Amino acid sequence: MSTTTTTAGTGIRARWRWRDALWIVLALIAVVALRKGESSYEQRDAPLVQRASGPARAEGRNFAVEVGNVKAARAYLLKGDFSRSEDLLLRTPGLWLSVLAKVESTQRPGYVSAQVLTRDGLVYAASSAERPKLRGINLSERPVAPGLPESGAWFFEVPADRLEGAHLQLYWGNGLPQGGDSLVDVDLGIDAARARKLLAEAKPVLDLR
Amino acid sequence: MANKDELVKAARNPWWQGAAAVALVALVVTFALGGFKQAKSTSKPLPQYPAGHRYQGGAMAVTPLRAWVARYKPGGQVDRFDPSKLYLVLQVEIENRTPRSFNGFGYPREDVILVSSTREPIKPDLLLMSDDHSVAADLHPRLKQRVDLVWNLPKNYVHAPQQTWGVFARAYKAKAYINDEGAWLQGKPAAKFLIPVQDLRDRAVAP
Repeated sequence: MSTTTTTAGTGIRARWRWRDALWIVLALIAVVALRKGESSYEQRDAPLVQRASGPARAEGRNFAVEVGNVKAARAYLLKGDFSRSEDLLLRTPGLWLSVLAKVESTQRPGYVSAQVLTRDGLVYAASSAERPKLRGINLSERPVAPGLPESGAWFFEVPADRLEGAHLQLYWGNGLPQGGDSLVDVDLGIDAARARKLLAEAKPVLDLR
Repeated sequence: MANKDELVKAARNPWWQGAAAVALVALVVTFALGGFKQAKSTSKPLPQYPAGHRYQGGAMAVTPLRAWVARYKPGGQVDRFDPSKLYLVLQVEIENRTPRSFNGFGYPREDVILVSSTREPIKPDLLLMSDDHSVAADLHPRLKQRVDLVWNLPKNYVHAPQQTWGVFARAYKAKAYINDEGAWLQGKPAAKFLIPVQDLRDRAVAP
């Protein structure tokens, strides 16, 4: 009698251990699967891309932009200032791409930043307010306020072979947009033919004095 | 006395005698093979680049072009209030190899350094665009942009006809931080630039 009880007890204990091990294995599988399915930091931090249908008015969080003409040049001739009396020829190893725009904030004052995304995924930040130094024209670091739209252009230095398929991207603030913030994406409509035309029409020196 | 007896007994033990003989032979062989000489450094010497030769790292490619010492910053003039000021300038061509524009004051200032006589890295004090002499702006992907790296020299500067600069490696690391964010992280020293330094101290204004 005593022997039977022991055998039965051992059997029960062994069966329980087997079930425990099964639960542990299933839990480990679940942990691995959940970890694999977890979004990456870049995915979690990615801004919300809002595709603009065309160059007409595009709206993002706290700003609205109307994108105008696009023009290319090899170099800009700029007027000297108090620190340098002579005129300045501002060259670039690539091509100067200017994008005309009218921008305004919709709720509170601040800054709108721009970048160009090329077809192969490279991102070109708009050139700073000092390059080219064109007060009243260069939109970089230009403060905007609700009800007071600002007109001008963003200037980009881009390789000449990366115009085709370029998109203009806009966001609120000076820093890159944080996760979930809006990143307005405007297709500049530069197909192969227009890229060739822009290159052909790009002046060796565009006089901006 | 008991200890001495034990030592004598151990010395007469053939096993201990054998072990001592093996140890002695090992010492002699190690000595004969040069095992007690000072170990050679296992680190490889850094590759050296003269002017005009391109170093390519992960985040950027750098080509040193020329270097000079002058009494003015690039594009500037001698300071009328302190004419004894001296500047060392290294002009480089930098190509951004990352997928997006980066600040000209960021990686170039951290990674391209002057090597002092005591082999200490010295970061540049100022970075200027070579074309318009404005403060270094963004450097853009796949464009080769010229930048002047400027060091303020001490009053007791002694002109050296050649100077050594160094460049650190920088590579992209996914999950570089605890929050899994990826980043371009600085690595070990990757190359040296040995560049002749032109003496322009006799000039009053920038060429």
